[in-house]
Amino acid sequence: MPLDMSEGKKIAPGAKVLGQIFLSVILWGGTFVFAVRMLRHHPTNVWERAGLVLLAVLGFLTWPAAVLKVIRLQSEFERRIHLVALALAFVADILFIFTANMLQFAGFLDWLSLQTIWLVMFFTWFVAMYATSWYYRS
Amino acid sequence: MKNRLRVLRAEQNWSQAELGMRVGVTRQAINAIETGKYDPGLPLAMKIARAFAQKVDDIFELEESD
Repeated sequence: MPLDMSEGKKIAPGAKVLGQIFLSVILWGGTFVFAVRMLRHHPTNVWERAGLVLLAVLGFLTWPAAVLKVIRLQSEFERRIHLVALALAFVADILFIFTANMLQFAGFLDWLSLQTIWLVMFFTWFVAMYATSWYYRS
Repeated sequence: MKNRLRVLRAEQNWSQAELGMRVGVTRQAINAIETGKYDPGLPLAMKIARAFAQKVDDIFELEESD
């Protein structure tokens, strides 16, 4: 389905869209915590482990789906902000991972969990959104 | 890209918010266009031109660096 490029459609001031994002974050966090807690019990059944992974991933997918829905309702200008923020966040994430990799080669860093990496990615996206929004609106 | 948005808006005595409302964008978007931080796409440029009853070329102008 093509994106609607009209300038006229913007976010309705309202709680509905924000509520959907909030709900998706709750779903993401809830399924993540539940899946991690269950997996810490080291279930032996393969299907149970795979199901928990799937549950957490599906829980996470509700968040980008909600964000995508918001972006599609926004104007060309708001979409530009999202695009620039994503580009900035991508560069910051690459820089972080590359630096961590070099620190490992140099013996300053032993191990870096994937959880730390995706948390950093989420954080950089948030900061990039804030900074880009500030730049274009100031 | 240069534009005459601020001048045209002043002539009409419209605020950024009012122009934004007329063309369906936020005040911040109009401000970003006026300060040169953001060049609008064709649909928005045409809506702005229509709001001022002018041609797109009369409002937006390419610079040497564009």
